Amino acid sequence: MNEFKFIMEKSTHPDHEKVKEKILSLFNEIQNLYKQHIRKSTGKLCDICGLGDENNIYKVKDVVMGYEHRKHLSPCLCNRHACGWNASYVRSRLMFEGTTDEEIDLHFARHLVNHLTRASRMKLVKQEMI
Amino acid sequence: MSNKPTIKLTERTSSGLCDALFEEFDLLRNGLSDSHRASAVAKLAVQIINTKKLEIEAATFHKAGLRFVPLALTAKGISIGKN
Repeated sequence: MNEFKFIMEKSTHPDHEKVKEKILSLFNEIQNLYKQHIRKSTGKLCDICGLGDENNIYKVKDVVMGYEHRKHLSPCLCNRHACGWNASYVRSRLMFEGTTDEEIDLHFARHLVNHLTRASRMKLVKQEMI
Repeated sequence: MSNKPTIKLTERTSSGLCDALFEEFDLLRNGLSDSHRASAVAKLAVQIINTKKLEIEAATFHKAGLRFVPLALTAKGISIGKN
């Protein structure tokens, strides 16, 4: 980064080194703070599968595509289910047309029905196996 | 005081339908529902979604100026128009 270029620069001025050290310590502090934030769990569970964060990168999203303007109504989805919804949402072309919230909700309901049908089939197969 | 069980009604909106489906997911996960019930809920939801989609489509056509002729189901079949 150009902003931190001065660290590489050599200077004979005695105060310059002190300032450099101070900036570096502050930089480390910021980095630690960021790492702590990244590692922090969201504490949320996926509304479909009921699972939490997968890891530090793939976390449960509380605002999914199509619900950006209605954050308080957005479902919480894990990375896997959020990706599935994103693909379905993009495929439906709802994002390209002037659609209403009602249509987005309906499309999401259809998406949920597909998951529920699949889940019920899986449950039935498991029951039959037992 | 009456000991009648309180029945939770689903909100009659698309987001209400999503809530009802989420509830079914919870029940299925916690073993309080079974595959047959979940399948029935899914089938019912599909019917509601299709009806709602048809309503939206009809509203779009109506907005564009299309006039609808009422249909009546009679013993002889479907009759078009009021008479």
